[in-house]
Amino acid sequence: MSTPEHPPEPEPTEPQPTEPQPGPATPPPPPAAGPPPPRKLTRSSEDRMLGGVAGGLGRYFSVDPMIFRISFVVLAIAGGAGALGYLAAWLLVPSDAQQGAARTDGNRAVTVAGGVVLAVAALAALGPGLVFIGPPLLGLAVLALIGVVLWRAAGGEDGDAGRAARRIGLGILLLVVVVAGFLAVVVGATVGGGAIIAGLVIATGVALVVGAFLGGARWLVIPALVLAVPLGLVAASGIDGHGGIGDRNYNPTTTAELRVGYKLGIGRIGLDLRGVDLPAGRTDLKVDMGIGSLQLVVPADVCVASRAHLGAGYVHVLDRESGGVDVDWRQSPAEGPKVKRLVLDSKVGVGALEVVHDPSLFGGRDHTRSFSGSSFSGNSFGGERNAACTTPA
Amino acid sequence: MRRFDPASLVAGLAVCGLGVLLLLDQLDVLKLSFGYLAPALLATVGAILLSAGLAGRR
Repeated sequence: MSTPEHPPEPEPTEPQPTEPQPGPATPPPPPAAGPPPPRKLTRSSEDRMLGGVAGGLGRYFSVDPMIFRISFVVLAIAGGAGALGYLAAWLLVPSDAQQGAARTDGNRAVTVAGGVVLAVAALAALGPGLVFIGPPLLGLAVLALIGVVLWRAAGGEDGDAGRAARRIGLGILLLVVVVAGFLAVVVGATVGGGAIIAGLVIATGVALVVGAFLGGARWLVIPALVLAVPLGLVAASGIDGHGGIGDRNYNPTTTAELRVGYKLGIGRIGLDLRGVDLPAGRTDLKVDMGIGSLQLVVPADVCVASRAHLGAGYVHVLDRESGGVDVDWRQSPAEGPKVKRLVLDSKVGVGALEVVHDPSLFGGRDHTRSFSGSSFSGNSFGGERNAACTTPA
Repeated sequence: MRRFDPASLVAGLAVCGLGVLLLLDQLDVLKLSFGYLAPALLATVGAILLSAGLAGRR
């Protein structure tokens, strides 16, 4: 086990006489002692296993770096946060061997970050099983991005606190503007302005190309991504905002009151069919939801067949559930004669689709579900069963 | 004479490619899903970062 390195403390010296002493061998007086230089967090170039992150942290906090190494390994195994944190520190924290070459170090960090992101892109393109950008890692990536922006805004470890505070303020302002732009694009894309926004993305790209020959216009990357990322998310999730916004509850009591289709842009649809005596045979129900949840209560004597597509979220129909991104759900149970059969065809952009017999079970996800890659599935939810499929009404 | 910036060129081409992909989806020529969007977005961001880092070293 290695130990952190500390510079040796100077030995206490005897007070020097203030009067000049005769003789040619008198040494010059030592320079006036000023305030000690601020401690800087750097990666260790000597005590290192990979990037010297743990060695640098151990030196900075004056503890054994093995504590940080073990912590990184444990956190890497338990969800991957350790690997992400180590990588972020490797990219962001300068090496003690490159103190005088901060700019070069920053360029190297950007290059490494670009290579890592491209590698992740390649893995994600190989197949759905390797798309490991689920919500937890995506959230960590967003937090890391915010951290990078604030770090850059603060000027790294620049000692000028006032200047750093001003730059952090500007960084936060930039983040607010970016988030506001992001939300504006989401709203614009959901109400049908996607083609125009895509055109703006292309125009921004053309401006970048032209700007490359005029000295560069790299700042245009930010508005380009603010336009493209939310538009892509809306497009991939299939969000349609034309159905309105709000909380809609429907409690039909006759089959005549039951619509064939329900639609909502953003919000929640609650549909309780327990007051309807569905006829034997097939009853079709179509529901489109942009962002939000669809909660459907069906009588216990109704057999439910369902088909759904979710851009991102989860679906739970009685005793089955699944979730993740790009969820294609199909459940077509065998049915007996004279069965009341409800055939649900649903599309949800981002959110949840829940079908239960007992409304008190809404939101009670199956905690024994298995997780694999970007999706999960389970089949032991709450004791509910699609029992009516084989039991004639 | 103004200096040529290769990072802006790479970023511009990557953004143009992403914009065309999004436009094709909006025109219902193709159907974008997260399985396609994720690598496309990551490739764009990665190309921008890589070109910026390499250009800054020169």
